[in-house]
Amino acid sequence: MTTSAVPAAAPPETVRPGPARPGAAGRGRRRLLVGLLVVLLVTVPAVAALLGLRSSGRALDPDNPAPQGARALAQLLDAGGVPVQRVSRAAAAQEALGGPGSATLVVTDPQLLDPALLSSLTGAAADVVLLGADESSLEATGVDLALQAPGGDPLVAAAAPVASGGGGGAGGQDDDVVAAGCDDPDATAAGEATRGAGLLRPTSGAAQVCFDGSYAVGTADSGAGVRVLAVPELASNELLDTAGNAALALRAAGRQPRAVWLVASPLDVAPDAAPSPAELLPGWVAPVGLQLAVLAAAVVVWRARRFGALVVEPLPVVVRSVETARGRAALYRASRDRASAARALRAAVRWRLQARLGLPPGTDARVLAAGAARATAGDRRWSPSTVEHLLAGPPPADDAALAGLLRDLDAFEAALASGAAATTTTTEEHP
Amino acid sequence: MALTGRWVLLVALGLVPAALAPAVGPWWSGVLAWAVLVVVATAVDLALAGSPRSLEVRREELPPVRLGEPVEAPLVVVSTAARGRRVRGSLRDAWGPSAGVTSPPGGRHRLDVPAGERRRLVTHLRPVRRGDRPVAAVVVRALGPLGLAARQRTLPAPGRVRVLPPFTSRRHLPAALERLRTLDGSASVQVRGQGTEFDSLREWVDGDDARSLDWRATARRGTPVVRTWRPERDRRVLVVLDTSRTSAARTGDAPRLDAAMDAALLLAALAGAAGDRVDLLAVDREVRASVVGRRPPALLPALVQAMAPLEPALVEADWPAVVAQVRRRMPHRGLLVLLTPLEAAAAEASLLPVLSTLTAKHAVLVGSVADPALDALAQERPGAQRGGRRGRAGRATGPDAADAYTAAAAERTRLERAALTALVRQAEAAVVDAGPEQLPPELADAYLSLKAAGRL
Repeated sequence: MTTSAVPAAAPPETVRPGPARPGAAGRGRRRLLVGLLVVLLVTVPAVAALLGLRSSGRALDPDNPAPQGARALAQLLDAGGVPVQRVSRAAAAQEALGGPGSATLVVTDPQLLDPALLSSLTGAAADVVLLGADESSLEATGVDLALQAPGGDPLVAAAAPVASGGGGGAGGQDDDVVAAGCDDPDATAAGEATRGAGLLRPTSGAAQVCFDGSYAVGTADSGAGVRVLAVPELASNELLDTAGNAALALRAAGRQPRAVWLVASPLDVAPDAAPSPAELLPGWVAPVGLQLAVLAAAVVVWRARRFGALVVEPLPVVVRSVETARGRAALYRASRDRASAARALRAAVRWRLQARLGLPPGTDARVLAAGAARATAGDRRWSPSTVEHLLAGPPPADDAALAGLLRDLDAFEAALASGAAATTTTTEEHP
Repeated sequence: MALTGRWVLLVALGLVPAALAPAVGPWWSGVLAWAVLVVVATAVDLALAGSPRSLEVRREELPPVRLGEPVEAPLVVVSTAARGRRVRGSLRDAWGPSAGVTSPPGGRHRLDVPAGERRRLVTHLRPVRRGDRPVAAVVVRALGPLGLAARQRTLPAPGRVRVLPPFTSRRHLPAALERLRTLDGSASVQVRGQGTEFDSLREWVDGDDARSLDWRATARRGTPVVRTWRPERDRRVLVVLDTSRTSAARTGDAPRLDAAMDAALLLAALAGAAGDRVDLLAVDREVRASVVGRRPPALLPALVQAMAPLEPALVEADWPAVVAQVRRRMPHRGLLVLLTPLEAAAAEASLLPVLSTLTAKHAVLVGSVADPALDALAQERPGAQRGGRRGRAGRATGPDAADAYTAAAAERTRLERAALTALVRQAEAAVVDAGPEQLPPELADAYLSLKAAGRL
């Protein structure tokens, strides 16, 4: 392994034995991994967001181009001069309709909508088209219509023709159509439409039921015309071109200069209709909670009471005796006082050398150097000039030089010690 | 009043009625009813509990104890009520943390005293700090019969245990006494000096110095006779213990003052055995402790008793005042042992100027507690390890600049200390500067050398 390929800062564990420049190879692989990770992190949410924008995936949603969507109908209306505004909240629909008058309200899945909301929306619309219906939504609009099998689920019943239509393919569709069989101009204009089970029945003479009960026309309490497609699938992209489905749907939804299409959601609730969470809890929760709070307070009171007062004891001030030396070191370091530090280091070595050589304090460095050369037993590294420079040279220029000075002084003292040991040994061997 | 765990349990049981109450009344009725029940039960229990006021607590005088040794602290609880309820519950013997209560845990005893009777409780201590460890009170909790609540009261019960210096250096005493005997005429080794006194004449044996022959006696007897000598006795030794701020610094685990005490005790034991009269003076700005005119065997007990409560004071030592004290206590020549840390700044300003007036009259021995950590600081090179881990091939790893600054500061401190020691020696005082472990034996050695040289 070449040391030059490994930067000093690289943690040692990334370096593994292997072919030449393993560090560079490992780094490349790691970069690739990081890049892949970044690409994944950026693209996955972006693609997900784009797919999510395409459509909500709801059946009979005017934005949904899937077979069960209703984008075709919405675009046809648009092309025919009736702009369609899609909304998903009752409040937004109310706002879009504005005052009573000039717009058609189309509601997908009205059974999901709160009856009170549907009722107030009906009041604001000039015409209402319900794609699907149940008892409560029919009741909410006030139209004179009811379901033939009370309590029956219209969606389950309505699923049958769609399933058979899809299963039979293009060829079998003619068997599933039914003639209008009523006087409603829209229905007669359409002529035939997809068959559904007879679903709707009039409750008074004011309402008309066509196509074997899968389509009905009535008047709401507010006077708005109400058209119910009990087989709402006939407005879907898949079945719109079957028989007179398109004509029926277009005429029903296009009676006013514009249309507001509400894709109803169960999240839309009328104010103060739902029970508060507190009402849903069992009755014992509140008292038990209160008792638990009391219990917590009891534990606090129990533990908080001391067994007598704390005993105070004056403790002596004890400071480590080397604190002052450490503080001085910090001052040297903070002020980068290399001159003082070097002076202290050199003075200490000179002092010990004087003691070793038996010379008085304040001996000249040159004399000391000569003595040191003898004391190191002729070690070549410590010639008198080197030692003199070491003991009395100029102050170090930077921190590295200071560290170097300390290193040299340490080495010099080690040489002195080993030289002295060598001298002693020699003396013992050859007295 | 104090509440028990059982009371909390009772409150917790209230969860059951609280949960059941909404079926029969308002939702809060169960909680309220249980609260009333708990309050009533607590009140009844408290009313039926024995009264802690009827108790009286007496302590026995405790013997002094050496630091690190255990001691039993007995306590007598007396019920002063002639008739009445027994007091049942617990009692806390409220010693301070440094008294080191070992059992029962937290000093909490079980208590059960019938009316008119008394009980003896024993708290086991192992003090962790020298000095007087006081205790002010005991706390009594008298439980009610239901065990729900207790009456709590703090009763005065003053007491203290005196913790003496450990005198760990006494293991050096036998060796020092042995050396003392060799100085004495009892061993056949002669040490002669100005201050030695004539002891006896005996026959020459091989090894005796020819210079010690007594020619007159040799002539009279016809065989060689030598004189033997013994060191002088009944010299005055005054140990001055510096309790000023510099003695507060910590070396190892204990303040310098404790090491100085250890040295003073060994020296006093030795000097007492050598027949010298030892006095003690502990001083900073004022005299903290003083022992005068005690002879063995009363000397050491008097010294440890005097030293036990001493703490370093955070003031500067007043050496001129010390000189005045010394002059008063030791009017004639004697040995003056100054146990004071040779800290450059403090000692230079106050001790050095007056030292010559002391050395002019007395033999002066200065004992100073050095810090081995300072030597370690001058030698440590943590940067060498830091650099080594970095692992640059081809270059010798070594200390870095931070090491150099640390070493320089430590060396500077050592040099200043050495210079100060030299100044003290110039003032003709002997100096022993050693770590807390080595100071007592080295000080004893210095004393023996002075004695052998007859300089007392």
